[in-house]
Amino acid sequence: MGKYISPRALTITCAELEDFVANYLDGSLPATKRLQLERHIDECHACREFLAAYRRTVWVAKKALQCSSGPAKAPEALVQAILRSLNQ
Amino acid sequence: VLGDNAKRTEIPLVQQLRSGDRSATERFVREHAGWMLVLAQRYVKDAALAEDCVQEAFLQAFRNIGEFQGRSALKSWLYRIVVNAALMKLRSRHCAIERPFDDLLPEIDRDRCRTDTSWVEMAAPDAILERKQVSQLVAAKLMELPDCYRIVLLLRDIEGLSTEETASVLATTEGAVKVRLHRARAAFKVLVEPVLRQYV
Repeated sequence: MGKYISPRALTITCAELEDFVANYLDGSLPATKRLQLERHIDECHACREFLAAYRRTVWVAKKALQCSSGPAKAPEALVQAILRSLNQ
Repeated sequence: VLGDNAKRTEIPLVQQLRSGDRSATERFVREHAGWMLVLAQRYVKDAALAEDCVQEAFLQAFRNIGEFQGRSALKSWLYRIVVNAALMKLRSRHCAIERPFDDLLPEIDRDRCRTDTSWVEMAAPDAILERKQVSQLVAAKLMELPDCYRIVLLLRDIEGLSTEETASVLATTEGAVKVRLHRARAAFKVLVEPVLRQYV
């Protein structure tokens, strides 16, 4: 007979998913926890949506900062102040 | 490590800067001060403080130009210097009043289940974010996050530092970085979703 494994040990709660999600996305979550998290996502529609939105959020932040800051020109007064301080 | 093209253009430039060539120095300052100012402003959220950061970053860069080994591009080297200058400024500023934050975090009930049903995937196609007006509104939402969360998000998700590097830069623990990063992403999502919804 195999060792009995409680059904609770096979998955995690929504609250625990909150704790683990950042590590899950950067690949640093230990294998056992990763499996538990993936099992939870399979079963929990709200967390599945949450994870998809969370991933997208990381991408949105990157993309917005890339697109919002085009070529920038420093004010002439700043350039002159820098040059003065460098030449002292 | 610098590629061949960069070596051809950057190594002679570095030699000119080291020798105190005024014309090369001015070209160098004009080429880099603009993006450095934008970067510093993301961290300190204040135009005058950001200008101070850029000025201090240039002073530091020129003090240490003799140690520049060419292992990275000059721009990456300057990037790190200006981010460090901005973080130093933030450390010395303790007076910022920041918006309450808990209402932006996901809701979990007593049974440890998610109750927040607003977590649906954001419709944010590339084309929408490529519109400058939209990307600027979204970037402005990032600036609404409290400093200690916004900085972690910038360092981890935008600058690409590892958790360990971020913890070291901020003189905190990796655990604290992970918690703040998660809360920052979650709050940013709540702040930014209504903006994107207007344009989809």
